[in-house]
Amino acid sequence: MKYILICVMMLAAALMGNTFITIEKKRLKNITSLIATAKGIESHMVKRNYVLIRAFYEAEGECAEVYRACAEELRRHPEMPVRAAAMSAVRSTQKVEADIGEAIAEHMEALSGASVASQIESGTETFIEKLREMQQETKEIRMKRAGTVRNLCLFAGIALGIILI
Amino acid sequence: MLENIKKYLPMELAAELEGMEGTPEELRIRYGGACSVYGGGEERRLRYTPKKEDVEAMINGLAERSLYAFMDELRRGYFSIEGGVRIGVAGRMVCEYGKITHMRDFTSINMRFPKQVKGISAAVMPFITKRRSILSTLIVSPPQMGKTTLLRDIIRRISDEGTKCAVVDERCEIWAEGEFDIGKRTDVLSACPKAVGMGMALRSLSPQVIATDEIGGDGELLAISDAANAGAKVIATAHGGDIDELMRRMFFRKLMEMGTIERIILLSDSLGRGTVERIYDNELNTVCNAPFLLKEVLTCEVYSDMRYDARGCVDG
Repeated sequence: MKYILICVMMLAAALMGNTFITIEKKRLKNITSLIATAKGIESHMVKRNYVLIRAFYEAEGECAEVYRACAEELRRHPEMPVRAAAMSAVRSTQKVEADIGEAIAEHMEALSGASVASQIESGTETFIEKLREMQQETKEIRMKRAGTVRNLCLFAGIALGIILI
Repeated sequence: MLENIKKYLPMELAAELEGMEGTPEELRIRYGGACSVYGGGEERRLRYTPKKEDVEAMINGLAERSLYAFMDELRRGYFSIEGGVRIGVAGRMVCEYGKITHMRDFTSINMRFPKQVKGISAAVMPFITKRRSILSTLIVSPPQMGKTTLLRDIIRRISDEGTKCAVVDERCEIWAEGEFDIGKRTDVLSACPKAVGMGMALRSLSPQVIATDEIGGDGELLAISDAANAGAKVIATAHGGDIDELMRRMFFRKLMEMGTIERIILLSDSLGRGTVERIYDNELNTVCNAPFLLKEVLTCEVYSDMRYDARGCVDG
């Protein structure tokens, strides 16, 4: 019975450890979704010849809200620089972290300055590359943190179990 | 129409336009030069002096920050925006193997605001119809004499009277995405190259009349000939000062030799803009040689009186 109790405590501790790394999980999910959104926007612009604002409005995915907010901002204030509109959209939606927000703003700026399709493609490629780097870094951080936190919780669970026994 | 574009203009210029009377037909902005508004045949110089970054910002704004979306048109020196406003631009061309790939460093903008004047075609209808059917017609004039306005009204009129029309609106100026009324039986191929569009319309829309603006490009001769030989009539416009000038251009010489065009309406500004200077038949004989001014005739009285047996000239 005591051993079963120890096992339950260890399991609970390990699960608690996992909950501490949800920030990274959410970030990874956002990055994956942003990659898909960026590809979708590129397709709308290059293949369907949509203007920037329409392509942003038609964006799909978890983080599409940021692009839609930016489109709205640009529609209301046509004179506003794209970067400023993008940053305002990032702030108002609070969907992504500051560094991702910065990358989104750069991406939007690159798209708005494109005069040929290849510039849209290279702008999107640069953005996706940046996101993949962030994704890799986040994964490494998660691995490290997850391992440490899980081990700590596991030891705490064992220790607690032994004390109780 | 000017209201729609004011948001893209520098505040100084927008404010100056705000206080202006009358409807402008053209707004010209030149970096390092003058900024002028044309309307009613007059030029009005504005106080605003365009800066290079203003010109760039205006073009970017007018293109909704999406120059790539207009690059096909920009390679030909213009792009059209909402309301059929044609934005002509000048700047540095970027070429690859002798072909323009894109344009940058914009220096000039020429905005042309189209308009619809319903009823102006009434007086020319007797000359371009025969036994209840329309004749293939070419409307010729120097720029800004009302070619497209007349073409638009002819299409609207014949379409409303029961003729199936197809419009190949390459520059999105004739129909302007629904901005203008071009009749109940008109199908429109917007932003479609004329040569391709005429063939497409012929095959898929079975029109009785195909209309298009500013012919004279590669492949269009063949498309017009195909349309005419397939039983459709063609109504088109072309730039030209007079008939001799027109016939010096190989495209039009060949077009007339093919016998495709049955009437040529020559517009000028001798009595004011929108003057029908002369009307010629397919052998370049004068059908009407007394100039008259196109007027708004909202009823069909003039038209129905003269409809099928026009012999001479009318004065509006």
